[in-house]
Amino acid sequence: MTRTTRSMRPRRLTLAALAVTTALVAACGGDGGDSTAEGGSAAGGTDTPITLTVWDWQYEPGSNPFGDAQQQLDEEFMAANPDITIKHEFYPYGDFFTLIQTAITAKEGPDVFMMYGGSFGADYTNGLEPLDDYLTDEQRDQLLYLADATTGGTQYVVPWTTYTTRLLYNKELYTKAGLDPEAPPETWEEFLAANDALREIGVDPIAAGFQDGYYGEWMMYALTSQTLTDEEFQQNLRGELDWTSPAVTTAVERMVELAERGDFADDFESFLATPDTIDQFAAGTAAHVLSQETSNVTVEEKIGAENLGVMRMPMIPESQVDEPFLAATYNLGLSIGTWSPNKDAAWEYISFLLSAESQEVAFDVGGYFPNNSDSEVSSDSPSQQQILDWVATDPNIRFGIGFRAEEGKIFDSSIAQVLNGEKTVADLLGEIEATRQRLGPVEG
Amino acid sequence: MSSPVTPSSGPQPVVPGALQPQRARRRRSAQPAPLADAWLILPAAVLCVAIIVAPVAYITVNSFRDWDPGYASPWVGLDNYVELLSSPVFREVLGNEFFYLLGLPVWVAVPLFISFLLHDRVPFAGWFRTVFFLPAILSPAVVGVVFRYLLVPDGPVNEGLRAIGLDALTRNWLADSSTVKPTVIIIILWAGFGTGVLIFSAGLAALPPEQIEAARIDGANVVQQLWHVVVPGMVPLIALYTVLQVVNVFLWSFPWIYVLTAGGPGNSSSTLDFDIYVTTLSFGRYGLGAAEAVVLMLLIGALVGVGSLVTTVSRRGR
Repeated sequence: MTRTTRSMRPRRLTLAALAVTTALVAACGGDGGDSTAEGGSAAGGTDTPITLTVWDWQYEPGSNPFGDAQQQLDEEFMAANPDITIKHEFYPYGDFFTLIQTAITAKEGPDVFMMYGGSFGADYTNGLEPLDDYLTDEQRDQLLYLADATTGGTQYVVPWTTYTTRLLYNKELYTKAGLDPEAPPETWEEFLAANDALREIGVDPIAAGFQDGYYGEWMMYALTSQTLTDEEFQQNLRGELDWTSPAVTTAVERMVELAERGDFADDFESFLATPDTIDQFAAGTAAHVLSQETSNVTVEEKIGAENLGVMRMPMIPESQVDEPFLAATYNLGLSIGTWSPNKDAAWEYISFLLSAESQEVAFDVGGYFPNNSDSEVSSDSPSQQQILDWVATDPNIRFGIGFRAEEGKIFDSSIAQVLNGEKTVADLLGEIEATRQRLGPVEG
Repeated sequence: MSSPVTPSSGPQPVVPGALQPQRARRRRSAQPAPLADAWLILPAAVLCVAIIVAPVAYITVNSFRDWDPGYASPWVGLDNYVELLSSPVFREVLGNEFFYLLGLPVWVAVPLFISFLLHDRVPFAGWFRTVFFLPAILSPAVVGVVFRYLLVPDGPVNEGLRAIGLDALTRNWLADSSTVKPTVIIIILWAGFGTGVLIFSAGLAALPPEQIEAARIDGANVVQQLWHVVVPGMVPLIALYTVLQVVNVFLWSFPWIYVLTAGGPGNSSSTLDFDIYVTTLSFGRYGLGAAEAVVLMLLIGALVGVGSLVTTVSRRGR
């Protein structure tokens, strides 16, 4: 008979408990199976009061013109739909997609939320309700950039308002530098010459902040909108574009050229895209800045509408298009969570936002350019009106490259190192390409 | 001459003046412990399993899956580990962790030295200990925001260096891959220094004061007193504090990295816990993140084990 000592018993108990626990956990940690729609806001039919939870990264009424516009739109929607309450929540952009990821994991979260489509949306499709069957023929005719927002051929995201990448410039500084304030440069050579003249008068040619990488992404949008062919643009949407291709490499090299020439503000590695670059421009220490949607409004207040010029990105020699064009696509995307028990109500809300009238409000109050071709808007601001004219009339509107989450993380965290020479263009794009290959093509 | 040992013969008669025989030790019967004993430890065991064992087992099992919580998570075997160990980012992050360990001597020696100076040497020592402890009660988010302001190229630190003619030393402290990790080490020292002073002060209070006094009388200076008297007398506490700092590097760097650098520039300041956060919550790669968590757990276990071994061997050597 084997003797069992007291000292062996607790150890055997512990091992037994561990084995049982592991077996139970292995049995429980199996396939999750298909997702089921749970959570979200209170369920109910059309006559039952419904609360729709909306998440976005721009909703700051009182401190952000777009937030004011959104608040007004929410109030108008609720007035027209008394049985629906909009619960609008703001989350910072830097954390937003992490929160969406956790909502997808938990199968519980907002009914409606901002999202990007294209290759970016590929990482979130588990939580995105396909909206193809919700869109009406009329909406398909009205809405611009629908195709840009698809992921793997599926419309998980509907585009809302127009995003343009353009340069704002300070007309007063142009005059001081001996440049024509009404004739901004259109070619890359003209642009570099203008930057030289601006440097002569002691200003930074281009406001810059690359610490978070977003400014670099905006420049990539602008430059690759010139270098990508239509087929390459579609390849990027499918997650099939080689990041080391000449079209992409050239764009980054042009950015490096600007950095090496000293055209960016000093210490650009330490500044953020927003608000630092706008602050540099508004303070008059930099003559150009790449702008976002509402920045015209805020900048005009600081330097005056008559002093604010807007120009399209100058054409680099490698451009696929012969003349300047507006790099534009959809600004924000709207999605419905697969877990939402109020999908019909959520679509009612989204349809309301997509309408021509709502987008007119978004422009008048928030400065966001419509992507509904039936919207009728105009502006007393010369720079805003110029952009509206381009959106309406430019025959060559196109956009550039999009990033998936991991690709964007690599780019954002390393672009400053590339621009200050710590890292090569080839190394950066090689890393992104390796990630793209591991992720594989986008699936709808 | 003592009587021979007579086992199992009952109590022996007491003979006055004679050496009493040693009673034979009766060997305990190797009977199973009563069941009541097991019930007594059951609550603690359940708690231990629920809080520690089960989550670890759960993560470990899912590290072998293409884990997508709540969705299809097929078994992939060692794929996650292969991807992880062959990832240049993981290797860089691992290298960062070992670089941060270079801060250990500073994180341990500085509070030890300061606490010794405060021990019977400085008036209002209690006030100093309180002031030194203040950073420890500040949120890393607050500390991070403050230091980001202090360390920008035209911030107070660089301006101060320029003011004293040390322009050559100015740096883009948090945006330069060559300075970001040493800068983080210094910030962590600043934040945790007071805790170390408090802990070592308590240890010093337990040391016999005569030893230090004797060394002082013998002419030992502060450093000699510290090295030859204080450190040998506080080895267990110093070892424990060092182990805690090692664990901090691997498990509690996240708030600093998140606020100060977001792992950048590139991945030059990222840590394993931050990378796990990015991998799982930002990229949705839960299986890969689980594998990384398992590797982190094994690494900490190995380091603590090595530390214990070194401590044990050094004790035997004494």
